[in-house]
Amino acid sequence: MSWWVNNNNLSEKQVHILNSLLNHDSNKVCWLKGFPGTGKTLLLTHLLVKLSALNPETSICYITYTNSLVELVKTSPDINLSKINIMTNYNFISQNKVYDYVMLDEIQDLDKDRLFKIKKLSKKIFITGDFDQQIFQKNFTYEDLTDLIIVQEYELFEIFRLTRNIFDIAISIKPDAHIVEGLEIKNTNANSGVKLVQAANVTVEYEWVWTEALRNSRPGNPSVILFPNNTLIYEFSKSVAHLSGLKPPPKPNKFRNRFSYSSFNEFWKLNNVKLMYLGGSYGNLKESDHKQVVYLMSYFSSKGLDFRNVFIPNLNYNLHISPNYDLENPDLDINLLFVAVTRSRQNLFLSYSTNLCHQLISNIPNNYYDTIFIDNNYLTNQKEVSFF
Amino acid sequence: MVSLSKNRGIIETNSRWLTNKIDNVDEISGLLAKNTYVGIDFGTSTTVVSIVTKDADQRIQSKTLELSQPDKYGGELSHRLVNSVLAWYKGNLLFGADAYALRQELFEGRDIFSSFKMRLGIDIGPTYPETTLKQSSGYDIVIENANDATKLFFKLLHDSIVRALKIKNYPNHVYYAISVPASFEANQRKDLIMDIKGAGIPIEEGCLIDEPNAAFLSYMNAAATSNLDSKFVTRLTDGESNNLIVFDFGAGTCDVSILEVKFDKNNLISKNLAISRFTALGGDNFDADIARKILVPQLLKSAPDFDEFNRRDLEERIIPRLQPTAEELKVIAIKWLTDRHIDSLKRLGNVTDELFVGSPVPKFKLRDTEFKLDSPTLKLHDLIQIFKPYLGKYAPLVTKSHIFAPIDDALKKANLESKEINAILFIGGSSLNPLVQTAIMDILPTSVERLVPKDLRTHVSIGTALHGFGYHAFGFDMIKPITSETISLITKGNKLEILVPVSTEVPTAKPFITTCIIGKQGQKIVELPICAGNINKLLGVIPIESENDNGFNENEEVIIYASLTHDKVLLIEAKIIDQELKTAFLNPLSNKELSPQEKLMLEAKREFNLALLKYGSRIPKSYVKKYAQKASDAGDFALAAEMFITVERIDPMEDLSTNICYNYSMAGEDLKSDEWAEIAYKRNPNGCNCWNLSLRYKDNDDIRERLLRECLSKSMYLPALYCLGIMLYNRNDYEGEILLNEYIQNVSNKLINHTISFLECQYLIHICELLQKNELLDKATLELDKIKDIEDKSLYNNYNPRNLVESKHKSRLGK
Repeated sequence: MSWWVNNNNLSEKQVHILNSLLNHDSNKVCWLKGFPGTGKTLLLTHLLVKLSALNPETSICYITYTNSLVELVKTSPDINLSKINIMTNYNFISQNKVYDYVMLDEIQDLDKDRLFKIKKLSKKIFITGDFDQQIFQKNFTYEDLTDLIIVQEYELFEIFRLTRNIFDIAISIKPDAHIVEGLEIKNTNANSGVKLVQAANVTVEYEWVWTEALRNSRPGNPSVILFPNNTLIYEFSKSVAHLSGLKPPPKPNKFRNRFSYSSFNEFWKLNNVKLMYLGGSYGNLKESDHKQVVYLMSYFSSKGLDFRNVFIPNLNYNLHISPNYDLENPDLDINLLFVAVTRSRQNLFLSYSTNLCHQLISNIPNNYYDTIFIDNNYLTNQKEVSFF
Repeated sequence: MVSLSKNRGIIETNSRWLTNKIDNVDEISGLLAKNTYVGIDFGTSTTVVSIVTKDADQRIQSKTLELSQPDKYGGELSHRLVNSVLAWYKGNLLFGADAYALRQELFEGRDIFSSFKMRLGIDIGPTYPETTLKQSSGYDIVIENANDATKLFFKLLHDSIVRALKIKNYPNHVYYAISVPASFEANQRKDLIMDIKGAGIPIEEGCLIDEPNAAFLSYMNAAATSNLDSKFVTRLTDGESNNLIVFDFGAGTCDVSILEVKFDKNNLISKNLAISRFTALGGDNFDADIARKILVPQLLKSAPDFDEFNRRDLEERIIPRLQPTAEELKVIAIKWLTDRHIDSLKRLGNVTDELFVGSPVPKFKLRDTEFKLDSPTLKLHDLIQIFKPYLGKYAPLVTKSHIFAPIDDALKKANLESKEINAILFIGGSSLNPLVQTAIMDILPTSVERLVPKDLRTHVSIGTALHGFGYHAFGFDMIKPITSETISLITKGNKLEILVPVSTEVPTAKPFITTCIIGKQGQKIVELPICAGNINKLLGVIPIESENDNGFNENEEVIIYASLTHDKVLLIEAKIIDQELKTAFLNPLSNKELSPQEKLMLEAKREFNLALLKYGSRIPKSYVKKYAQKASDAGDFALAAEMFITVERIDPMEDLSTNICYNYSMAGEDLKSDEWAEIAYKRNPNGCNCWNLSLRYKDNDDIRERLLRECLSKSMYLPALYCLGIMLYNRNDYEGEILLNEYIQNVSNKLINHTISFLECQYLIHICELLQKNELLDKATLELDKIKDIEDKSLYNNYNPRNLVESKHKSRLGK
């Protein structure tokens, strides 16, 4: 999977921090902090591997918020899954087993109660998290965290994921995001222009998004299309089915507040369409290593992951980004969109199909993106050229 | 010269610019305040541009420049890597990253152009005869050949560089330096300089630096300015001499240089000992092999009724179409190996098979048949087989395409054994492949240190900029380039007389002087054929006619002065008594050695390409027919047959079935030859076609006899007369002897007039032996020897062997 970086290819600063974490012997809990794309999960995983190698008899567990992240970490080729446990924090608490070392990722999405339980089940704990990316809970603050545990903060100064253009976009969406002094962009990919696409209508928008997502997707570098809720995911998938000459896909079943995407994914597989829902326990991240895939995800499930090509449609002026939009907490829209745009390693496509785009997008300076207008006739026929 | 003082990390240099701690800070600052020094590494696949700057501690360094390139959506992206690709997409010209990304969607040579660097210096007419951007198309942009593509690419690059420098407020007085493969021949350098100048970039001879030398400069600069942990550098600073191999393995070429690096009174001196010959071997070869051996069969499955691709379709259309997918699969597979720390072919053999799936190949049509490949796949074990000839066991005479071969070549030229090498520096994008590095390191002794820079793809560019600074600021050429081949004169008996030895520094300080002698009294013309490397790579022939009616005298001296310019252009001056002739040589047709037949083919291809460019898919059949005939004359019978078939396709009224049958037969394609023999006979059962078809029925005497009689009833076809005669004679049929005597009668005059052909003579000898006509047998045998003698001589030589001079040192053997 593209997210993994071998030990030999870590930067000097990353190696330095890793060594500091390994040699950390105070009672304070190490907190690895950084802007999106600074490699918090990567370093935590490397730490996990090294601790396991140095202390083979100890019990180690990596816990995080979503199943997608669990699957991501499992794809690391250096992890010995027979010796290291990787699970969601929900399962960790349910297990009720004490571990010698616990790596706790995405701490901002916990609550006080869960953090307390996790702490009780851990002899030594390392945490990562960024409160700017808090998208699940609103009542858990930095102060709540420091009340429970005494932390020693390790700040990461290098952004490996985001290009400069995407970083600029992210900052203009969330101007109060914490930017440590000396933060550098170290992404070596091409600094592609972010595209803001205005489509004549939603049908055209979806058609364009699907065509370009597929076109840009490569084995090892899938495209992802992000949506705020399951309804829009399904609406989009109907559009794809229509374009592929198929009847509509099965609707995801709702069961105890969760949607089941088994039949949905099976439908695309049977019909040889390279589309897959990824989230919860559905979909397979590893599959895109070896073949062309376009993922559909919710903003929430995408947390912690990154992709070369990210498409964010439906940024209409009259739609909220967060499904739980609350006038008293407008930050949730901001944080969600901030998280969504920071999933991209290179190509970012924002699109809408109304006369005006979402307020958060209109706040972005014009020179931060390239504008594309898609009317009803956008699809040019590609001629099949006869050879001599 | 680069200098390192004995205290590591502190550098002084008598060239004063590659320094860590310098005493002429003001001078350097002044230069950098007024001028910008740009280095361009123009790679087959990727181009990188760097500029010289100072770091916070005032140390000279070089860093890459991020350049804006158009994207496929009408916007822009910026990157330090610029793919050397041009694409014509929706009416816009793209270059760089997104042009590269369009390779799978567009058609190579039609609306996308890549690897044009590899086609410089070769004159085959329009390199892209099927281009959309031809002169007559009405577009402002014309890309018909590699020079057009190179010039246009540099123009766009130049615009981007100027923009980037302006944004960053660099001085707008810019000096350029360009890197080239060390083994780039004079004709390639000339083409490149011409194209770069045509793009508006001011450049001269000294601005070129050999890529391995640039890589070396970059490495030494990095050693001086950072804490490089290397035994090589430590040995240098401890005063020891080092031999360093620079192994540059890119997309299109594999370039090897051997440098001697040592300390001399606090100064580090570096000198080129040898460079490998031009080797068109790179990452592209792996991709082409994957395309050919793995993907073509998969593609054919999508059109089960399609027969098979002819050679031209395969090489010029199908393989280029599949190559991007092949590259993608290769990269996926290598990433998979790297993640698992598998870095050698040996270890790979122990891994269970894995299947990789690439992006679909968009559908396309070839002669009304649609092809597509929705799920191209590559198995790991198939990849091992692909890699084996290049990375497997190395056997010098057998595995000629092995990546170690250029190293071997360079070692021989430098007169060194591998144990005398201290380190090897890996550069070039294809060196990123861990299997490549291991394949080399496994052959070299364990004492050789592996040096791998942080960024293999930008390394050469950085060194090029540093060279540019030294050259433009101080007139200093860091490491003198050398020749990669011996330049020789062909003398009598095909012996080679060395004019300029291999590994000679260029430009030559003074001419090399070689003296030969006239071998025969009264020789009226002297011809001096000059070759590079070996006898097949003829650069040119200098003729000198005697001004005296009696010709030259035996043992008269022929003095030849040979020198090389910085661009490796050869200048020859020849003198016999007072007669002088000067000339300058380039070899425009090719960068590799060519046989006479190959030269003919290239000329034919040039004509054909010109016609294809002019007429496109409506090319008149006469051009195709001519190309077919020339291919046949040149001995490329398979191609000739395919081209004749094409003529029939263009004009169904044309009947070339006999030609097709003949050429397939000469190409050894018996099944196809038999098939066309039937067709030719059905269309026109003339004597020749009867004869051709009879050959198909060698095992069926009845049918064969019938066809031979039919043949003879229509024309006196001597081979048929012979065959039928022998057949009947062996059957003790009296008619057999009659026919054989008839044969003798028919060829007697030819024998007397010396117009009998080789085959006719052979048949005659056989008949004479059977019929015991001994006198005739003797005559025929004598005649056959004479014919052999004439045919042995090359029909295509550019010189008469009788006009050659003799070596003064008769004991010296040619190569």
